[in-house]
Amino acid sequence: MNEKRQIGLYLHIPFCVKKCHYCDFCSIIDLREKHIERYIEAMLEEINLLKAVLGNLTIDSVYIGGGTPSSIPAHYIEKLLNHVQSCFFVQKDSEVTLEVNPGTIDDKKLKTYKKNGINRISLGVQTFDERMLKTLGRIHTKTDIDDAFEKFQKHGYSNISIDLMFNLPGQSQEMVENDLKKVQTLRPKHVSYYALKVEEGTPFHEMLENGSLRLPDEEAERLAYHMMIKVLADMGYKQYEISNFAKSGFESKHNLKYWNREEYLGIGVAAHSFLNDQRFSNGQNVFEYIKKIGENKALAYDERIQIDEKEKAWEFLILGFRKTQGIRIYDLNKMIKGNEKYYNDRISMLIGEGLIIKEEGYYKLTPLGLDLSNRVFVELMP
Amino acid sequence: MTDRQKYVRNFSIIAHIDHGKSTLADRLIEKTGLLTQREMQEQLLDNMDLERERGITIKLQTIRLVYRARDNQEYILNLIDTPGHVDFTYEVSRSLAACEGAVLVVDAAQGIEAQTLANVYLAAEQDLEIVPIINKIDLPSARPEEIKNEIEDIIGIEAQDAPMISAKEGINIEEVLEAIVRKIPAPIGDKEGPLKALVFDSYYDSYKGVIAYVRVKEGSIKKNDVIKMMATKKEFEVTEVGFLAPGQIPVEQLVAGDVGYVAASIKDVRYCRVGDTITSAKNPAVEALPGYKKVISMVYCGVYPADGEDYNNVRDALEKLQVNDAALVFEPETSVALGFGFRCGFLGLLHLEIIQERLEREFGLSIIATSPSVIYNIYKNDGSIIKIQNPTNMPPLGEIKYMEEPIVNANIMAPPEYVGPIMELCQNRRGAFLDMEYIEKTRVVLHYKLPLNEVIYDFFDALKSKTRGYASLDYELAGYQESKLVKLDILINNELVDAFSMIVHEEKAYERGRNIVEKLKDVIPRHMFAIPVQAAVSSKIIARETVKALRKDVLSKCYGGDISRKKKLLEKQKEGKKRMRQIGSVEVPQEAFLTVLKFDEKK
Repeated sequence: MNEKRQIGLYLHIPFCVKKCHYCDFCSIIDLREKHIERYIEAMLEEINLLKAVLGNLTIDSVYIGGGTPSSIPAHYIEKLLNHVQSCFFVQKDSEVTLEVNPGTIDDKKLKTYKKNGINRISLGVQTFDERMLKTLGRIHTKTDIDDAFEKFQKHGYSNISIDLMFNLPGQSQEMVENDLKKVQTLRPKHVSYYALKVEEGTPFHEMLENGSLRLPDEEAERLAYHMMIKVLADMGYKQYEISNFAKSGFESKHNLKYWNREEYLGIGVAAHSFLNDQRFSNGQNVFEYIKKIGENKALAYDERIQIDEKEKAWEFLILGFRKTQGIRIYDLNKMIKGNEKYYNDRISMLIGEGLIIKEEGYYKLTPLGLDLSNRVFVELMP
Repeated sequence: MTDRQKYVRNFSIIAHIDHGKSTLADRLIEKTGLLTQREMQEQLLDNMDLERERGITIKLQTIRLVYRARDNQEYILNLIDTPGHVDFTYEVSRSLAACEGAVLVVDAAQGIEAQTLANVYLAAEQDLEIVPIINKIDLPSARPEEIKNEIEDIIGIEAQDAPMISAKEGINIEEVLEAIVRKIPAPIGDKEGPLKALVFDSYYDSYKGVIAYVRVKEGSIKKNDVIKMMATKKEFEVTEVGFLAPGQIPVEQLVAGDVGYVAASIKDVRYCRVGDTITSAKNPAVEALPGYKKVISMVYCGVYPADGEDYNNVRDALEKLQVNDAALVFEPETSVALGFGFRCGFLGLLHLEIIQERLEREFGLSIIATSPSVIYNIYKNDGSIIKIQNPTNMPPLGEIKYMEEPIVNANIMAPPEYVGPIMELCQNRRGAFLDMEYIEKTRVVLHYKLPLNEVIYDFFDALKSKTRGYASLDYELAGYQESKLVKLDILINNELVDAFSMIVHEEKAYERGRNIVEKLKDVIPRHMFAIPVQAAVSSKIIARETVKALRKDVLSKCYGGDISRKKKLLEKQKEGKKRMRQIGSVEVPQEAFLTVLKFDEKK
């Protein structure tokens, strides 16, 4: 095993005060302490089990996501981070992110986070529009967002990222513009801006099916997307990935690992890992996770896939092209050895269609390519 | 009558679809002690998945039952199953010709339906003894006494002592067996005379060659006999004869009155057609048994592999199906849009659908079928007459003096409250009203002359939808009639897609064209450019829609580190793309070819 490799660590906290209407992430709304306690214990056990298999690991980014990690008492987060540090080597300059819902934060929590090395906050805002927040089923108000920002400042948090969404039901161009104006006032360092995608099994999906929910059409959605790229750029946020924007130097280290095909370990229910060219993941059920790992004390992955050479190349392409920087042709050539003709023919075709351009040793998506990236990815499938 | 004949009964079960024919057959098999209950597969006679799902019988199954009757005699009951649909009328009539009697199953709740009557007429034509049975007496809505009267009034056979049964619950099954023994006459026929055996079904066995299911009418047949097929004039040496019990039980010989099978190393099912008479090559019969017909295809369509590489597989599959289905014809053809494929001829629309589904299910092939067509007569200005069934072969209008299309006599039976909608539908499909008769208070038969090309389009779906499934339809060819027909073409991105072309009546062209372009607009995915979809008659555009250009195809979400999920979504997209047909620079999904044929509820 390569001693020098640095690994990202993802910790999944599947607890929420309430489930948003669009959400299909793994979370439960039973916040009773006995569940939280047992769940965190299971996570600690999973870390022990991994330590036993993998030995000492060097960690350079930690991401605590959910669910709503800020919805549970902060001492559990403390316990988790302490355990991580006692089992693995966490580098000093690591990015340590915690996802926060504006409606679940207080001074005490923030103090504990700070004390335990959390140096980056990812705040789930989604929109600043009061009515839209209700439509989405968010638990927080617009004021909660302002309050949260004030508290972050008070506790010395400057590396703030916010999550926003567009393509929301009934959302006008003007509403997107208003959200962007608010970004300018609050000045987070990083913005993740996702288009709402209605997933099966969510209340929104049902509403869409029965006609009680209407989303903006493709034209309006793209108009908003193109506009936000421009407005954010004017504010000094550089788009570095299809949906991610940052002030210079504040790109998410952890998320870049996904797109750079670097290794990460996921701890907790529904968490995904990528290590030694294998992708593996835990199941989606919280109580089964507690049972399998917390009680039986054994790793029990739901899925484990060995990535072969062809898949590797495809992953490299579909993940790399998500970054605006694109993929380095030098790196690509190493990946596609033996299959150069296959890929080069396709890339030439995509260049011909105006979806990709070649620039200074890199291939990257054109603005049209960003709009139609799936087309590119499907074309490049081995 | 020989002693052997005395204890033989040859019979079929006839019924309307869903009246319980197969279930009754299962019960009879069970009751005769041939199989234990555990061995009984549900609906033993319908052995194809497709049949079971649709509840209809396509290929015949014949079975020999041994029954000890109340008179303490053992009887051989040969149950000859019949296909249950209008497309297979000829096959039904041949099976019936192999019997002396027919058990008529009538649903105790629904009573007599169109198919009941059609089948009774077929049985009556063969002079069969008809034994009525009232089934489903366990249903709360059962009205067996009324149904008995209905049978007597409408069909005119005595039904007061008809067994009242529930095949599903196994009630009174023995009554059916007793009625068969008592009422159906034993077979007659001189076992010393020249051989006459009626082929009522055949299928291909890879070891033994064609297996002919026969009813020996005169004489006898045994291993090593040299036989002659009277219609095809081919001669073969018998390798095996036997009973179907079920499964083949070889016996020394079959004699007049018997039902069984004959194997004679026949390599092609076409040499051994249903309805043909097997005779002895040495001592041939003077004339064949009556009723042989070479089946003619009425409906045609193009069948193309969805994946061009499957061309040979489709051909192999069609050949295999043809081995057991002499009614299926095909020949290679090419389409600009779909590449290499086959022009196939079918008995009717159901036959067409069954073949399509069997290709997909039994052979795992993904196929595209073009719009079904019929045979048109074209009288050209130069005095020549041509017959076409592929729209692509239609000459330019300038060369055509006039055209004729096939017409059918259609009988539609339904409760009277649907007469309005049915008449409207038939009117709409260029039908000519002939007659309407009340067969009783709750049942009406409408007789129409309809162009066959209207019937094969989506008539059946429309009829079912307009009558909530209550109407039944049967039809027979009634000749040809002059008609103003035009070729309707569809253009996608300004390219003519031959697979969508169809011959339609002049007055229907606009409506049909409009309908198709609207549907295509919805099923053709957006591309990087706008795509015009047009309908044209003689290169004049009569309808147009546009598929707008694709603006967005992105997975914006992060899904944490769940890369597999992203990959799966993309793989699904690629799968969808694979099933597309490239037409010029446009990718058209396979379903497009189907949707244009589907009945539209809104219309």
